[in-house]
Formats: sequence, C-alpha cells, structure tokens
Amino acid sequence: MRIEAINATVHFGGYSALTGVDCAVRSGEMVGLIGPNGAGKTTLMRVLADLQPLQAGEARYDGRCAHELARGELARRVAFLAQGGEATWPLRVDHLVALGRLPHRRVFSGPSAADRAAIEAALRSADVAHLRARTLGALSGGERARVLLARALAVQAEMLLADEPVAALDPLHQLSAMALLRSVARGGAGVVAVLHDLTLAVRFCDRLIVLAGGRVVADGPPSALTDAVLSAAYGVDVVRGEHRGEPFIVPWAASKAGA
Amino acid sequence: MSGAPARAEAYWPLAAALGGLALAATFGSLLVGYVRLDVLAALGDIAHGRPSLPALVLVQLRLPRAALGCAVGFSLGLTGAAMQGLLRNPLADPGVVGVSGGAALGAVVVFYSGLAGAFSLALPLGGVAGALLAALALYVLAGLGAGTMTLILAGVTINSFAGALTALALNLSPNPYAAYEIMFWLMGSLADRSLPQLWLALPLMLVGWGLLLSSAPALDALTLGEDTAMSLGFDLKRLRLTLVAGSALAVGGAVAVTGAIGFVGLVVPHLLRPLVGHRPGRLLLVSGLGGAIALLVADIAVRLLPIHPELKLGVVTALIGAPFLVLLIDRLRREA
Amino acid sequence: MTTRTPSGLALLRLGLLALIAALAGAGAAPAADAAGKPRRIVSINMCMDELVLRLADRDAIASVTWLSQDPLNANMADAARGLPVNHGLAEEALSYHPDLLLAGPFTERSTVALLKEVGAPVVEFSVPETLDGVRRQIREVAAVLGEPERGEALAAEIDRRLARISLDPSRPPLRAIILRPNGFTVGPGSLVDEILRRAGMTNLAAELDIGAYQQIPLERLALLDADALILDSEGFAAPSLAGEALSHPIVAALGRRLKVVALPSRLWTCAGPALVDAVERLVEATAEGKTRERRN
Repeated sequence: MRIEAINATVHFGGYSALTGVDCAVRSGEMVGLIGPNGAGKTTLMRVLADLQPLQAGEARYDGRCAHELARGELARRVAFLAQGGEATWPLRVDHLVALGRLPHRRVFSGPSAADRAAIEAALRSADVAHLRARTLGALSGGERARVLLARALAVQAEMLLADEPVAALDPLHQLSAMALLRSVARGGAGVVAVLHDLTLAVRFCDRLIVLAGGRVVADGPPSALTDAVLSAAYGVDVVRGEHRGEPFIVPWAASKAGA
Repeated sequence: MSGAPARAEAYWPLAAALGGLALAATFGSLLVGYVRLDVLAALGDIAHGRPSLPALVLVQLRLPRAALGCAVGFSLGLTGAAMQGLLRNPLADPGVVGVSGGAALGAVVVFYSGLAGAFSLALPLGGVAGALLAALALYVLAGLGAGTMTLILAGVTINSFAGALTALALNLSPNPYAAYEIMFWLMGSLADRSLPQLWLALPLMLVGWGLLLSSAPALDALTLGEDTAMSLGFDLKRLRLTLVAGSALAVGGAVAVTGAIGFVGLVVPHLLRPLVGHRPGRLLLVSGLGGAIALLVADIAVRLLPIHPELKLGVVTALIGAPFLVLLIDRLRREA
Repeated sequence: MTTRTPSGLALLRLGLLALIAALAGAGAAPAADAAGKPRRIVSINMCMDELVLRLADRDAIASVTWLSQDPLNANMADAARGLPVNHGLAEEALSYHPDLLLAGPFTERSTVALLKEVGAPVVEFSVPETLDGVRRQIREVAAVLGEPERGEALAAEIDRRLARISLDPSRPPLRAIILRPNGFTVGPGSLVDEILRRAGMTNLAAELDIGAYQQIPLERLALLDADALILDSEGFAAPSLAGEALSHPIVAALGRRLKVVALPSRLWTCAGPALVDAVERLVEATAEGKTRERRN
C-alpha cells in the first residue's frame, strides 16, 4: 500500500500547521517522522490517516482519494495510534485490544477465530499478555502505552501510523517497541512513527522525514540527517558516535545564532 | 478501579437474567393494582372471548400501564447509556441533549393550544414533535460537525429555553387550571394510561431503540477518543445524528406519554456498567433492561404504598436516585 | 392568619392603595343611593358574580370577574357579557370605585386582606355545604345588595322546582359514582352529595371510605358495580389534562354497562340556583327505567 500527501496545507484559524507538504510512505518500510514541537507532525499523521480536513492538497491511497475507497476499507488497511493514549472507560486490557478488530468485524457477529488470533498475537508482541485481565487504570504509563500499541497492532493493517508510540516508555521497552515496529515493517506492513529520540530514529528507521514550521526540510535515509539539517530544524548541535556499526546521535547544546 | 483480575465473560447470561426479571416485573405490574383482581380468571375470560369487567380492567387499564412501564423504563435506561457513551461522561442523562425539554414543551403547546382538537393522542404526538424539533434545534445550534462540548452546551441551552417556553405556554393558556395540572404531569406518572397511547408511543420507541442499539460498536470505539474511533471506520457525524434522532424518538415518545421521569437514565447505566466490564456498547441493552425493571418496580411501589393520591413516579425515582448520586460523588471524591 | 409588621415595600404599596381609595372616595361617583342600595357593585369571585348578576340591577354592577363571561364555565355568561371585567386584583377592583365588594372563600387571601386594610367595603361569603345553606346565602347576599325581595323570590323558586321533582318511591336509590377531572370523586357529606340524594341516588364514594374530594383510580371505578357514572364534563372550552381521565377508553366501555350522565361543572362549581338544574338533569337522565341489568 502507498499513502501520499500531495501539497497538503492545513490552517487552524490564522495559524498555519502545514504548508505544501509532499511526502509518500509505502508498505515494507519504516519511516520516522521527526521535528521540533509544533512542527506539524501530528497534523501530518492525521492527514495521512484521513482524519484531517485540508485547506489545500489531498491524501491519496494507492492513487485513489479516500472517498473512492469502499466503506471500511481504509479502516482495515490503515491503523492509527493516537498520541496521548486516552481511554474514557476502565476497560479490561484484552477487551481494549479487541477494539482493534472492529474494522474487520461483521455486524451482529461475535469475534471470529481470526480476530482472536490477531488479538493474542498483538498482546504477545507488545508484551502485555500477562496483563490481559487487568483494567487500564491499574497500569503504569508505560504499560498503558504498550496496551494501546497492541490495540493498533491488532488491526493487522497494511500501514500503521503511530504518533509518539514510545514517548512514555522506559528504555527497555522503548528498544523492544522499536524492534517490534521494525519487524512489523519487515513483515510487509508500512510503519510511520513520530519520534523524539534521534538515536532511535536513525537506528531503526529506513527513512526519515524531517518537518519544521509546517514544511518538509529533509526526506531521505538516516544519512540525510546532517548536522546542518538538525541545526536548522531543531536549533541544536549534536554529538555523534557509533557502537558496533550502529550510529547514535545525542543532542548536546543549543545552536549558536538563529537558523 | 481495582487491579484484581476481572470476572470472566458473562454478558449473555446477564442480559438473559435481566430480560427475565423485566418480564417478571411486567407481569408483577399486571398483578398489582388498587383492586383485587383475579388475573388468571380475567385471562381466561379474554381467551374465551367473554367481555367481563375484570377482563376489561386488565386489558384497558393494567396492560397499558405495565407495558408502558416496561417500554418507558427501557427507553430511559437505553438512552441514558447511549448519551453517556456518546459524551463519554457518566453524568449524562437522557435529556442532556435537550430532547426531554423539547418533548415536554411540545406536549404542552400542542395540547393547551387546542390545536389537536383535544383528542386523546394530542399529548404523545406533541411530545414526539417537540423532541424532534429539539433535535433539529440542536443541529442548528451545534452544527453537524459539533464536538462533544458544543453538543452539551447546545443541549443545556435547549433545555433552558424549552423550560421557559413551557412556563410561558402555561401562563398564556386559556385553561385556568393549566399550570396546576401540568405541574403534576411533569412529575411523571403511569396512572390511567390507555391502550391508544401505548400503540402510538411504542412504534416510535421501537425505531428509537433500533437506532440507539445499532450504535454499540461505535460507542465502544469512542472509548479511545474521536480520532481513533474515526480511524476504526466510524463516521462520527453520522453517529451523533443517529444517537440524537434515536433519543428523540425513544425519550420523546416516553416523556410525551408519562411526563418527565428523571434519574432512571442516569443511575441505572451507572450501576450496571461494572457488570459489563465498562464497555459502552454492551451497556446499552443491559441498561435498557435495567431501566425497565427499575421503573416497573417503582410503579409497583407507588401502587402498594398507602399514600393517596398516588405518589408521582418522577418523585419516587428522584427520592431513590438522588442518594445514589450522593454515593457516586462520594466515590469519585475518594478516588481522586 | 398571623399579623406581621409590614416591610417597607408593603407599606409603600399600602400607601398607594390608600391614596387610590381616597381618590375613589373623593371621586365623582356618589356612594349608595338614597334607598341605601349600593350602586357600584364589584364582585371579585366567580360564584358571587352569579348571584350579583341574578339579584342586582344591571346598572348597579360595576364589574364582575372575567371568568363569568365564559359560557362553558359560568351559568350567567350571557348576562355577564358587556360588563367591565376584573381579574380579582385589588388595584383593579378599587379602580371601579366600588361601594360594595363581594368576595368568596377562594378569593386570594392577600387580596382580601389588602382591601380590608385600606378600608374598602368588602363582604366575604363562604361556600354553603347544604341546600339550606344555599338558600341562606342567597338571602344574605340579597340583603347586602339591597334587594331582599328578589332574594326571597329566588329562594322560593328553588324550593318550587325541587318540590316538582318527583321520584319513583318504589325504586331503590341508584348507586352512582362521580368522576371529576384529574380522577377525583366527591366524598360523602358535601353539597354535591346532597344533590345526588335529591336525584334519587346514593354516592358510592361513601362505601369506599374516601374523604371529600379524594382521587379514585379508574380501576376501582370500573370494578365498583355502579348503576350510574356521573362525569363532571361537557367538553372543556380549552383542553385540559384533567379531561384525559374522562376520555379514557374504559369509560366508553363502561358506558355500555351502566348509565353515564354528563354533568358540566358549571352547574355545581358554585353554590347557587344552578344546583337545581343539576338535580333536574340527573333525574331526567336516569328516569324511564334506564338502569341497565347488572352484568358481570
């Protein structure tokens, strides 16, 4: 599957969130969407998920507009993991993860064997199977985040759009979640994840899109993330290194002078 | 909520048990009245086509009362659960979007203006018309794409406005006893309702129930927020439209026939929610059945209590419901 | 009623009313004429309206209440048409410069108290409980109006008409129950009860152990095994919920089993000569052996 944003422009009142953004993501690759706060990352994610009305431009799914797709098709093929992880009612973990199967469920029928298998797989992948009978309110922040990730995995979609999936997790679980997302991408689905950690971004992503001020400032493999790009986008100078062949980037200090 | 493992899945047995209780309560309501009535003999008379007096009382008086008690209670419980699911707030009640205020106003206006020529179905028809107009006003005010907060505010506005207009209509009514009468009607009662009223209200309520129950999966998805629900394939505009229309029909039909009965739609969903694992979709049917049981029990109590004239149903539900709210507040405070 | 020291606002109001009353008194209209009869009679009670319209000269009436112009709620609507109306309020009543104000027991207490405080000529009457009481009240009102002979004539007419009513002595009293708006009935010991007796009926409410003006559920009504059902209705001018009970299908169904008589409230809302009309109607409707066989 291929999702494109073409000349995407979004205004909120007088404020421009996105201006003329062009980008494309496809199945099989893991894309990291990075940029400073307020750059428009969440807005772009919502555009890709067909959740955001546009003032100009459009989103296309395998070349077609959203309304040209069959009812429910987009819901089955694209999974969206929202930022923040709200859940109004204190559902049991397994029931919550089961919500991810709603796009596949027929009206008036219970969960099928495929549904149950998908839920199980999702619970195991996110390492929350042992929490299945607990309610959300009794879990820690990191556990909650993994449960919500499991919900998105349960959709078994062709594209997974995850808005800050690891922000609340401890280092161990950050690493395992990123490895999980990469394996999802290797398995044939596409993954787009909004990330704040530059090291995770360069280690695990096939491609990086850098957004700043509502525009794309870089789009390419991790090597495209030069010091100049980082300084221009984030206003920080970084320290780089390598460990066993894999790079790491540590933001070190604010850049001198303006961008 | 405790972190202890929740009980295993028990939905269909629960629904069946509640359904059985509701049927039992309906039958109980048939057995209770102000006169000793040999119900079985009366049923026999009906079966054999004998138009006896007990049969007449059973069919013309007790049957509408019991059936309406069940149906209205179901409407209130179901709509309350639906509104709480839509607005994602356990304090929403069936009237929150303004439909019960509209129903009361519609009934008062149609009836007292003599528009309907004083035929006995003027009241229910007026009520449903008022409820649907309130739903329309809601959309004019809040717009089709309205968010939850806007919807609530619009509902409050409509309820206040409808209340003011109701008072005005009563003030201007040519019938000097209007205010006195409608005050009692607004307190809610099932006394001396008739079969024609049942036949009018029931089809409307059935359509409303269908609309509300069909939104179960969408309400489940809404647990995770509007963006996630949309990404799971649910059209939120359509959902709001469906729920408001469903409430207008279910609650409008009910209020129009029985007057305003509060607290059932607020308290019953709250009590039953833990039994369905807090899932809003599953709560709908269960809450409806719980509402039917609650209202029937209250109506039976009203007839068994040695207070004359009969206590108004809305008063009884308020007297029982308010302490529950106090308990709820207390629990929320302790959790905070 | 306890007396309170009036608040500032109440004192102001009192003062204004006193001013109006003084101006009224100092106004052009003279007080009672040479014969001592009041010439500017104001009635602020619907039942008093009726008596005033029947007993006083039309040009002596300054104002009656708006309720008596409604033909469905009042017995003297034709006579009341064309007269200035009031709505039972003190200022309004005083604006007619009355030399006699007639009030009833259900007139607003505060209005009556206020009128008395400013020294207006208010006379209050209670509701009679028996036909004797009705006759007495007619005579009292006539005396106050300065028309004692008319009062006597009216009372005598009532007696004459009552005497003309003949009941079949061999027939036992019909068992009747009254259904009023809002599902109320009438208990024993009231004026309406006496009307029933005069019409050859007994009030089943006595058997039911209900006090005066208690509610009766339709269920009990239906299973009472009555001979006659008296409906306090004759089409309401304006729709009312109270009427709902009276149009319940079961009442229509009962009509096939017992005699249903429609009797409008205006005939018995006020204690007055119209009560005899009520008796006559009841007798006529239940005469000619119209009682049904009691079927079960």
